[in-house]
Amino acid sequence: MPVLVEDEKDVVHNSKSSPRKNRLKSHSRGFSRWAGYLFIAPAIIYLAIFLLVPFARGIQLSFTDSVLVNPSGGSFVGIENYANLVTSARFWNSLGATLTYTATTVFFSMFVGTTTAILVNRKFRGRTIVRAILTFPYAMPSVAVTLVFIWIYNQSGGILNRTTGALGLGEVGWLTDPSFGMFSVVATTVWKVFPFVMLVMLAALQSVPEELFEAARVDGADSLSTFRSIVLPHLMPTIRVVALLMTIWSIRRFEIIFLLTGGGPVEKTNTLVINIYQRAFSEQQLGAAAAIAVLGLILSLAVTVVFFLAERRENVKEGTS
Amino acid sequence: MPSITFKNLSKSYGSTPIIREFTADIDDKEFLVLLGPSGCGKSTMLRMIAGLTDITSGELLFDGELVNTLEPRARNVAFVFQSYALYPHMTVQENIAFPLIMDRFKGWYHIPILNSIMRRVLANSPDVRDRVTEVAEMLELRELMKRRPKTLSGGQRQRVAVARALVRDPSLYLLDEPLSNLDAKLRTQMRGEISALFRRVSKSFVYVTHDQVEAMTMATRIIVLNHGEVQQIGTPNEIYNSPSNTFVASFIGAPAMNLIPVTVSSGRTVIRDGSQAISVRCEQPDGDYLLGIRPEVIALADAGTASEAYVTSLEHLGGETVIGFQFKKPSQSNLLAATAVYSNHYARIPGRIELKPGSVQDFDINITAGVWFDEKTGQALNVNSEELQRKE
Repeated sequence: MPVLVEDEKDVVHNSKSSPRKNRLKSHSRGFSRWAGYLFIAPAIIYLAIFLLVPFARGIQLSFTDSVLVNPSGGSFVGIENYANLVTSARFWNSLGATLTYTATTVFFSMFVGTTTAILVNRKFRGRTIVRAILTFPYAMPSVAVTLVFIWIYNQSGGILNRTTGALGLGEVGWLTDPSFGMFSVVATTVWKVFPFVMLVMLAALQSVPEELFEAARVDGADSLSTFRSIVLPHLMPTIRVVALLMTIWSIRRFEIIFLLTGGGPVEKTNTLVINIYQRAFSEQQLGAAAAIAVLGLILSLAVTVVFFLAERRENVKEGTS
Repeated sequence: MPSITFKNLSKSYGSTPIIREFTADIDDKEFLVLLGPSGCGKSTMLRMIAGLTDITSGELLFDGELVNTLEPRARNVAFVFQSYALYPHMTVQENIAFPLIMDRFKGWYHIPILNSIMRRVLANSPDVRDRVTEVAEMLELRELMKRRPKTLSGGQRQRVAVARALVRDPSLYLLDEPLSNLDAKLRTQMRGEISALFRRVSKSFVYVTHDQVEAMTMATRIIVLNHGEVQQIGTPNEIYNSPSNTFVASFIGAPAMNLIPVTVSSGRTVIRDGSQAISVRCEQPDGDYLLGIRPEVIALADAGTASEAYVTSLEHLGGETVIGFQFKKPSQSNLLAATAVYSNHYARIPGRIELKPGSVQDFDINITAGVWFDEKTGQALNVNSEELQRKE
């Protein structure tokens, strides 16, 4: 064993200066190499069982006419599921709902989150308490949040309708009126997720070097110009990453929409994920549901790829790649 | 082009005083260096002049006008930060142009979209372009205009920071340890460049540093600070040759001024460490003193002709030799840790001197070139009258 330790040291020392010597000694690294694989094995096995296998199975299912009661009993139908999807108005409606939901949720949670981050980044009395209170929504379970909002949105006696009624604006079926369904779902989601944006933005804001603010003061920039010229460019990389995460999460969000409207009113909030659930568990068409899932995955991937391409262009522009 | 007046300027954070009762008068077009060890309050002082830090009490006047509450931009100062504080997402060109664009920026330009357009219009306006080009040429930045700060070397960033300060043609330049992040060779070069810049723009400079070489080579006037208090105000020459107290004496010079404890009785000066007498008669009244002698004033002498001392260390610097010595006979451990021993004194002798540590050597201590300090207060005793006046 001591010999091994000695060799290890040598390898470390020489790893840059003489790769040849390094190679000669590599036999003594055999143990540590296998130890490395050993350490990552649990994660690999876990991912394989719970991610890769279902992933492959999902793709395979999407080419079959399997039903819920007998998932393995389906027969191969080629691209029939996909062909049915692209010709069905329900699928396109669902895709539209997903895009609407994602775009509005991302935009408003980014806007509200960033604005509150800037506000609570200022110094004022009770700042810590205000910050803590503002993070509550994110810490609360989605189901609890949604149930509270169902109560708020309640058409007869909900706090929102009582308020609008008292103000003379009339009462609205927040969760039942097709013109308000999407609004209610987005508002609930934004309320739930904006603290995440706020926390990340707050961290980014605090990482702006103090001297940059001072330099801007000496250079005669007012607070708006300082924000526009110094703070915002500093936040941009963070904004891009958070926006990507929010987008992916919005495409996948299930529980808030399902509990609030279940996809209604008249399929206005029937996003792809809700659609998948209905196909698989209400209509029991597992194959068709899998096909929607695959298309949803492609949508997520497309967003991610576009994001990384944009990111790379930005880096090239900044000369850091 | 202000003369700067400090009247009882104080700064404290809570109950911790940083600057105490700072009073000084600085003429127009001086190169003032604030010199002191870390934590002495010199950077705070500079930030108060800039308007980046509030003044707790006292008055700060530019040309006799109170500026205590003016915003930095209204004081028409430029500030070069220790970390350069370049805007990382702007190119060199945009960095230099930024103060000019902000000068010409009007309130209604803040309207979204119009904002970006006006910014571009201003950046491309002839007066901004020409001024930026002029400054960039002066600091040899023409080839780097499209680069971003993180792709530049330390020296280049430094020059961009100076260019950004220079571009608005301010009346007062404030520099906060601008050379401390550079390597030794570049520092020497930049020292020369900043001195040249000072002569060319002929404006007031206030320069903060803990490096006495920078202070001695660049300043026309130095303020030595310690624990937030002014120790001495004077030209580099005055600071070096007639330090007003033992702090200044031991802070300036490498090695610093020797402070030899002596007793004077009826014209006879006796070195208390070793009880040797110094042969030259002295005019001081009887009592205990610290005798300040610059290392280069001390010369070697033949045995029996001057003050006998023990050599403790030798440093050959090529052109000269720094000899550490003490009057008390050193123990063996003293010899091994020679340079760390407090009672050590130093002599700087031209040429290469070979001596054995531990050997006995006579040193000629020229007390007429010495500065006498009160042993208890550490204040200099025979400061010349001009110096006293300045301190009033």
